[in-house]
Amino acid sequence: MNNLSASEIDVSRQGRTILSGTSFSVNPGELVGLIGPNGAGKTTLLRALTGLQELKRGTVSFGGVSINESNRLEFAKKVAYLEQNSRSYWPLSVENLTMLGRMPHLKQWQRPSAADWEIVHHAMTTCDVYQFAKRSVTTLSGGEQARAMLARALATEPEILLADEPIAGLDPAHQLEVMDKLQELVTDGAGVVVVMHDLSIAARYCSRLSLLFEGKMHSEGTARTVLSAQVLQHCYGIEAHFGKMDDDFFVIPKKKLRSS
Amino acid sequence: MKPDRVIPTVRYSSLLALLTVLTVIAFVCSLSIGPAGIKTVDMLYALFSVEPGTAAIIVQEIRLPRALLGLLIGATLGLCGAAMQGYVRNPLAEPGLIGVSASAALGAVVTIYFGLSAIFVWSLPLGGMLGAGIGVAVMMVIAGRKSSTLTLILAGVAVSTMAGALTSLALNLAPNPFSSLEIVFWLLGSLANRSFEHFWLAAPFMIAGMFLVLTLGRALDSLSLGEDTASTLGIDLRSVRLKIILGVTASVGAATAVAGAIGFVGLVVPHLIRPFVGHRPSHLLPASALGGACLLLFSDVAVRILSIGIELKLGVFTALIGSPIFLWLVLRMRNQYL
Repeated sequence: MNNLSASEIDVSRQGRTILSGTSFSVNPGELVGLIGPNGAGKTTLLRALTGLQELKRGTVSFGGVSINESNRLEFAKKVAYLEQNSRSYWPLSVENLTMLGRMPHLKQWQRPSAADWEIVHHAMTTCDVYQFAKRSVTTLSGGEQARAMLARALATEPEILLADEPIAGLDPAHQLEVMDKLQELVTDGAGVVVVMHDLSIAARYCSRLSLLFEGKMHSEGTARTVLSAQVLQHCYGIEAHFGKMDDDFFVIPKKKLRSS
Repeated sequence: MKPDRVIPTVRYSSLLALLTVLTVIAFVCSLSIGPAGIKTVDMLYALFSVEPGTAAIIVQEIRLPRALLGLLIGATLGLCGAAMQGYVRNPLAEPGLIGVSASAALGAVVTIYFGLSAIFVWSLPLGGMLGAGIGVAVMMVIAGRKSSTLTLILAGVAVSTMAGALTSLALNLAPNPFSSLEIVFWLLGSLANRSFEHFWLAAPFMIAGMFLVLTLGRALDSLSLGEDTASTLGIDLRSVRLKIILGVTASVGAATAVAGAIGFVGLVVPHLIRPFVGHRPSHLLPASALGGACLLLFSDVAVRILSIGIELKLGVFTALIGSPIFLWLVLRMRNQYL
């Protein structure tokens, strides 16, 4: 198992600085919540970690090796990326869509084996989309599609999963179900990075929170240290209620403080 | 509850077998039907005859190259249409999207315009293939090295428009009506009077191009999820782009150079077949190649039956049957791609 890390990376797009001197890393067995206000650079950081984003400075390395020097296919087998609002351009059936996650493991012309199908079925069951296996993904609701896309990412059986807002648009039951699944993945030894906006769910599930603000890593640590009244005021511009019930720490936004 | 849309469960191998059988039937029809009225049995005899009888000459020298070209060109158009649609993830893409058909046509028209084709027969198809190569090279320069699919499409449209304008210019400035009529007739697309030399000239490019495109199945499947996700699934997008451009240029360029512009096959065939392969781009490639071969061979037979006096051009026929099919498909599927 390897760790995926970005060290001192700068990213700019069309002359605008998006990330500057940002460092971040995720280890196996860790569920990291990547939080921060809109436009803080969360998606760009995830893209940089997958090698999709061109860097102006700094390196991203996996298991100590720069990802530019590592084999693309080997990297794809170990690091899966779930895009924000991921969708299928063709009305593929859910099982064929999920099978795309096995792609890095299959050679050219190689057909999926029984073992591959088993993994795919397992991923579909986990994400509660098995009943849609034969249905076209475009006929599913937004939340159902999001779960099918997560099943696709899980079917890769990655060491590291980078998920960009996987629970946005899900109902509370499925939000908890997806987070439970991600936690299970972590228990099995994988490292997971989740971009999310629900601070209470983040606080409850993530072993660590990383707060990005204006392209810089503002603070990292446990929910209680990161989610302080001062930080919420400074980064999100809100005042919040903090509370604790049955050992669960929660944050409820109360009032917007400034226009941003 | 929403209706459970069940995806047609035709087995892929059965579908390929069915299309192969249909293609073989179409090929035999293409060898059997023509103005000389040779029966199928006699045709088969003549096909393998070593004696230079009339029937043998007609079948071996006239119908066989025509049928073989129909087979390869139809397969090329069906395959490249499916590949381009998969690559740009848009069901309206057609094989000539990157400007290859228009520039191959221009290259061929130039040889007619300057009278080269009258002096040296091979100058026309060679001009067409050269035109395709130059046109696509210009397209790639316009699109740039790190282009997205959108800039690729726009550059293709730019090249097609330029080639179309120059073709119109050649028609406008044609020295005499015969010359312009020759250009127009050539542009309509036909397989009539094509010989084995045409076949040997174009076949290597078509086969090599098709092979290159057929290797892209997995990449096109991954692209169903967009370029970013495909890339994280281990697909090298630059290599895919280069392969599809080279493959389509070689095969469609050669096809257009020998037969003229034959439209709608590459657009309609992938649409017709897509639901039967569960919309999977990789499965669509071979099925659409067979479907294209089948449609073009049957169309070429129909053209021969329907041509009384004036030859009905193949390209005109495929457009006539293709556009209503396309319209019907659009009406039927307009809710599916929302």
